Amino acid sequence: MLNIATNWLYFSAFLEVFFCKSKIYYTFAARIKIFFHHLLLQYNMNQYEVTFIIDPVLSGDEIKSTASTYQTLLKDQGCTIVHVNEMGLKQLAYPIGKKSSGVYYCIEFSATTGGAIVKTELALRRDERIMRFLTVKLDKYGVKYNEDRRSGKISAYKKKEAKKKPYEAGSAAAAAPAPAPAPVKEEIAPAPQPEVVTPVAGNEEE
Amino acid sequence: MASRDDIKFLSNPTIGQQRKKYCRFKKYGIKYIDYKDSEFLLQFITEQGKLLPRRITGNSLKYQKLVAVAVKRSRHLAILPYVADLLK
Repeated sequence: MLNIATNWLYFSAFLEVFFCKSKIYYTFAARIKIFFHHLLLQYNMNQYEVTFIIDPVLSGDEIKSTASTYQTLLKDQGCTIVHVNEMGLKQLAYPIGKKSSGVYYCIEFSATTGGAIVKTELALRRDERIMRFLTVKLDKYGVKYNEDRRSGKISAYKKKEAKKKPYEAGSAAAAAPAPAPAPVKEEIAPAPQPEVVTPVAGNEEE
Repeated sequence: MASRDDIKFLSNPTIGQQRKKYCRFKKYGIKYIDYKDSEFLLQFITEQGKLLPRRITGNSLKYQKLVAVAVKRSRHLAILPYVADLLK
């Protein structure tokens, strides 16, 4: 990072020496300087992730509108939104405000300054529709993890089922379809029998 | 001559041996621990929702610290409980 900064200093000094002879060139140099400055800023951008829980009592449209307000709020502060993860309605591990479920949203964004985060966190804190929130700065591994998750390289961890040996799995697969038709046959088979039997039984009684 | 495979033991020789513990993050190259993945984090907590010690999970110090942070984050977001009974 420091290396890039020093390079940039050298480069800007070079630009000034090279272009300062006339006014026209100077403005041109300034433009180039601004352009490179923006490039550098983009390089310095940190990626963050804000996860929040929305009150499930609200209607579906209201939930979506609350999520979109925070997206627009972040955009207005000069952040670029990378991805919005709608995790949907989930059961909470413990009740929050006498509610046992909540709608989870996760907005991933990149920002150059921390000011945007302070403002969004204040807004989230004031909002009654938000039950909980958490902002996290992602390191480079986190950014990569989220990208891989989106592209489907990594899927959510699933608990391993007890390992079945191949022959057991085969027998289980063979056994599974077999019992299914059997009860159907049984249901069909006994049904006509009583119809036939009862009249006969009646006849015998007579 | 009898080869190594022909020797039969009276009891299973692997029974008494202790399996070597290892850090799964180092072994499988996991660099980031997601606090939203409750299923994954359940491996590192007890049935009461307490963090399991390194002595049992075999995590290296670096990743044990990251696991602790991830579990605490997920507790705040009610993905994992602070206190629980029969969690697993």
